[in-house]
Amino acid sequence: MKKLVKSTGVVFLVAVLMAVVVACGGGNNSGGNAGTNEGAQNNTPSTGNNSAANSEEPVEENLSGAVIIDGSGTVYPLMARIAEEYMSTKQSGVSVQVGRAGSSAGFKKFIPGELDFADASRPIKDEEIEQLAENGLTMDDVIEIKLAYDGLTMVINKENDWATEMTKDEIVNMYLSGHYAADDVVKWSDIRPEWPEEEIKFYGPNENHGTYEFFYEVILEKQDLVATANLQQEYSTLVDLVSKDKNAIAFFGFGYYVSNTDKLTAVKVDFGNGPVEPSLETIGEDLAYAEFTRPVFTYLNGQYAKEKPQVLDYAYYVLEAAPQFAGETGFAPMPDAILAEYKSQLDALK
Amino acid sequence: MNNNLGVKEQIQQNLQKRNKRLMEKAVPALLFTAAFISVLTTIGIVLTLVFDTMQFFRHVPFWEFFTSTKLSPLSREPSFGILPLINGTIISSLIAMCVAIPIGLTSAIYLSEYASERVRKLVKPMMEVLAGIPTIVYGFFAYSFVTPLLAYIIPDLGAKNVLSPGIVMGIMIIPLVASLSEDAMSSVPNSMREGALALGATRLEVTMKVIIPAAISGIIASFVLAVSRAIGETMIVTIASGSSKNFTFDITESMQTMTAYIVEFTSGDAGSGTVGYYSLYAVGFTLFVFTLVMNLIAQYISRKFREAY
Amino acid sequence: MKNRLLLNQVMKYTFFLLTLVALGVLAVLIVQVFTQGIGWLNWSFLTSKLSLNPERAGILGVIVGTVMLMIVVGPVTMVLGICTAIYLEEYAKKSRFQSFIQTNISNLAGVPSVIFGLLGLTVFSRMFGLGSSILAGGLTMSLLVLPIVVVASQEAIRSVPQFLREASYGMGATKWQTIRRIVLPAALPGILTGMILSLSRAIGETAPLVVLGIPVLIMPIPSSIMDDFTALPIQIYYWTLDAVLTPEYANLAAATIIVLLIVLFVMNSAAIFIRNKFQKRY
Repeated sequence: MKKLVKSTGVVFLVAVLMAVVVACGGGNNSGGNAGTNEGAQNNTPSTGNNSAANSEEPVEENLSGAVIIDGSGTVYPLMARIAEEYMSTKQSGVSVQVGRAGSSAGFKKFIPGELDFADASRPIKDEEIEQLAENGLTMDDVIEIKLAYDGLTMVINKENDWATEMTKDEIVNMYLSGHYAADDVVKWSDIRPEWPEEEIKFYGPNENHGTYEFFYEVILEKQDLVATANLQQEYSTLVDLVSKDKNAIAFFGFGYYVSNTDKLTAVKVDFGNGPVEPSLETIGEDLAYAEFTRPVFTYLNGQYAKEKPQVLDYAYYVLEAAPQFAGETGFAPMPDAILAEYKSQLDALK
Repeated sequence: MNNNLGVKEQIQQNLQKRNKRLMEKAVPALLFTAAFISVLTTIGIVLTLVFDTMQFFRHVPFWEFFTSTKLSPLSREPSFGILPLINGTIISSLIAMCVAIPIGLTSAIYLSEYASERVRKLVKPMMEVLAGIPTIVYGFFAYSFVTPLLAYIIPDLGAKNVLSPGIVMGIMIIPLVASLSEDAMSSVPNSMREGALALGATRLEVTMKVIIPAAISGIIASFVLAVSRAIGETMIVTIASGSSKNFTFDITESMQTMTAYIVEFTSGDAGSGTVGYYSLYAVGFTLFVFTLVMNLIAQYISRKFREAY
Repeated sequence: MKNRLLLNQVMKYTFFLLTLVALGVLAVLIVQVFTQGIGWLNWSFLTSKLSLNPERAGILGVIVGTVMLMIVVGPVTMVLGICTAIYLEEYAKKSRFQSFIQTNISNLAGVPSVIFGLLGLTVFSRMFGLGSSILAGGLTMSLLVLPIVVVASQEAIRSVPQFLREASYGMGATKWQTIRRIVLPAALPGILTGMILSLSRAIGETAPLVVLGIPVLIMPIPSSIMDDFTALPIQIYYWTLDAVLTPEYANLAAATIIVLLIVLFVMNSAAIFIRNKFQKRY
């Protein structure tokens, strides 16, 4: 009996292998992000000699090929959601790949032309634009799309019942290097004397992430973060660390808090008119949580959108789907007028 | 006409002969080429590591890299000290050794000196199964089972800590220590066992006073190889130990090993040309040297041991 | 006198118990993985595409990716491994070159897999421009498991009795004919066993693929070796990471582990079966 089982296993394996070998016969090569700076690939941005631009609406035809997206981990849940919907309802032949290396990391791949879209939770920087120019892409070739609004959320452990409301200044000061202690070991009691005399564990996303840059540049106004801050690459690690440490505090995009309300508490922030809890009702450019609100972006390589119909088609779909999925992934949607303007920018590419 | 045929046949025979000769000459060359690929692999590894490591040391002084305890590769004024990583690597490996050496060695003693043939036939395949489980599975196990379990015992254990992956890494390495040590013990000639037993020694005394001293170099070699394996282990520490770059000796805290640093950095920022990118190779090179030295030591010890009999 | 005997007995059982510790952990691991994953392991999980939604997610693309990775690794390691072994055993016996390559191979076997990932990233992904395609992953993996195949094939070739070779030479066969018609067929079971073991190592390796930068979400089923892909261990890794955000991902990771373990079990059983069936032929 045993022998029989074993030999059928072998036969089965061989059969599977054979089947796949046969199935692999006609593979279509979707040369996507073969990325080298020295360009051993066929998809370097070339100006001018693009194939006949497809003038008809690409709704009817079946597209194929790949759309390569990388960048912000904050934007990832939204972009991945859009990508999945696109592949399962619109164009099943197109392979949309979404990474989440971080905004800066995304731009580093976007600049030499390894990506079609770079997600970012901060606007592109001047030096990045310069590097783009060195690679033969001006900002006219790059379309900046604001996808949605995100509220930077301060999260604490569920057992933390004292720091549920803080003023904006308290948050800034606790994260400022040297403000409370020269060695940056800050206790909760340093902020308010009635709070416990225990060391605060600071967490946050690392410098790969636009969320970090937003926090550093806009909220801390480019002053140094405490040296004791523990910065991580993966958001899931941050959620994990804060949910298991009573004295922890972290900052990240609202979306990661929304999917973990059972593990984390969001700090209500007082910007001067009473504490405001981040929520889809308060996050927005002219709403109560505005000071901690920022748009999140995706940057489209216009050259590739001209050359590859699947990229352009996906770009249209992103504009259509972003407001639809923003809410469920923890973002506040963009106003329609702004999205309409992006659509006309895409139309101009044809 | 007939003649013609004969000539044709002869020509064909000659051709066949010549082909045979050609084959005999060509085959070794082809095989040599294949054999050379493995050498090329080594050369490739060394070159990729050395090349970008040299780039790295253009930006960061050699001295600072090996003595600084501050590692923040991405900040505005990045500092590259590898000590936190070496510290994390050594501590996690030490914890693994604390698990793997006692259990691995006693398993080896039991299997080699005490176990009946039947028990051995049962236990050894199980050890092989243990050795064959992919490290990612151990990583999942460490993170989703061992860490919560330890958190019951140690209340202020971090969600990511070095203790849990260290222990699980130790479990993973047990089969390696057990099988190599057992090989060393089994190759001690039976006459020595029988002589000692005939003098009235118990099995335990034979093991402790005869077998282990005789097989000591093989056993030590297995320990060294195990350390090397622990240093090079990636997924378990990546998943369960997190990526804090603090220089600390507290095993309930998160630490990063050299391997985990490489994984973290490549999953974040593999855009080439930055100092951070080159640091990846500098760390990789350090790791490579660490494990290579360990392996060479193990080979040296076991070669000495082979000369013993 | 009594004490010595007693101590011996006590230690005997202590050793035995400690031996059981490792096996006990193995049992716990398997039970834990099965309790977490078995409820999620059903036909639709095996036949649907990946998805962010755990209720809908399946690993068909992941399985296909792993199989295609093996389609690259298998032939490459087979050719390179067997050729290297033949060269070392039949042509370069006891030369300085042989001992050099031998040392080199045993050192390669000890290089951490993550370093092979760096090699693959630098050479295959960037220099050859293969990106994170199946081909790049497969070639990287091939180099990683090559030492296993070489060593196993060498042992198999070495165990072919000398008299068979001599008989073949006596019949007027050339060296290559002898190797091809006598030695290789006789060594085949051992070589196959080594092949299977090396493939099962490649199926479970994660680190090199992570370093190559396999994207997080890939829904389409790969159809050629130039496509980007995801494989079983990589998917386990991402799901384990993201289980914090979506708890059900832990179950999906466990279910994927079950699939992986079953595949490995079948492969290793096949290897043991081949080994036992052909063991004592001479």
